[in-house]
Amino acid sequence: MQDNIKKIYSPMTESAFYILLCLKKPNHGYGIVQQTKELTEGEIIISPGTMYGTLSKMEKDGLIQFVKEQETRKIYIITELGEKVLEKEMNRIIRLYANVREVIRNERD
Amino acid sequence: MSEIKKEWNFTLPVNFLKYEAYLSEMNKKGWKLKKKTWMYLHYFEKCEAGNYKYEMEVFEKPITKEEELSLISLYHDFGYELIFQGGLQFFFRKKIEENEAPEESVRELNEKWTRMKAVYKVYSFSFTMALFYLSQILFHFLTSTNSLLLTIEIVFFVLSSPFLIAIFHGYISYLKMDKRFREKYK
Repeated sequence: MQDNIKKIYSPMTESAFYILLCLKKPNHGYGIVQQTKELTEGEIIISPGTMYGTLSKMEKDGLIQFVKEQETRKIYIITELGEKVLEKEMNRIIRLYANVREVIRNERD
Repeated sequence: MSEIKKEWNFTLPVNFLKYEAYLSEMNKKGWKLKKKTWMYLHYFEKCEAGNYKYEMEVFEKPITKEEELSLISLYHDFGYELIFQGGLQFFFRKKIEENEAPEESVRELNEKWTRMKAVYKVYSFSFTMALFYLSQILFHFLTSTNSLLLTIEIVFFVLSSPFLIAIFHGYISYLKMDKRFREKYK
């Protein structure tokens, strides 16, 4: 089951990646959007539809969990499985970056 | 009591790009969506004319009251108000400032189509059922010798034809949208 989830989320969409990353600390949908906007210098703005759809799916898949409700906002946090999926994705990105650098360096030499 | 206008529009929500643009255009003319029926009829309420961005959310299965509140609250955080909810469809709108360009990225559009596609894949099933039904009717037309039975079948076929047209229209719109996304936005 867990392996299947890891496969489904790899490679991950940018929105899903930032949502998981921003949920390393408890946060709500709108907070995630603000943080993502800051991290990407306004390049990625997640729409409410994408946010709702992704949060619902991730909660169902066990990547995040509901913590509490603050006014009408739902606060979530990443789960252990979510951490593993995020780490796998981060390693994939690091590998991509390293490969690109190596190819460019070889081209220059 | 506010003024209400009825309008037929044959754009289906599955073609969400055109459908949301249609609702925004109506709002520019001073008409806000009040409700819609499944057979293309829309009711608009007189409102202040202005630039609004419309967003539609559809669900495959009914959502709980709690999920519904969570959805509305999330949209509210983004500056949207719920203007109509019919069945599994939710319609939101947000005021757009004059200089603000409400452009969605290709990534956002693709993610929205992925969600919509999961919901509207029901058209494929309906289309298959409609084809089966049509083949059965045709077979009976060609083989039946009982005039009373034939008359009943013709009446039944005529009565069901608006539903069949709606199913075919829905399926074609679904295929067109899918093709558009595969060719233009991928």
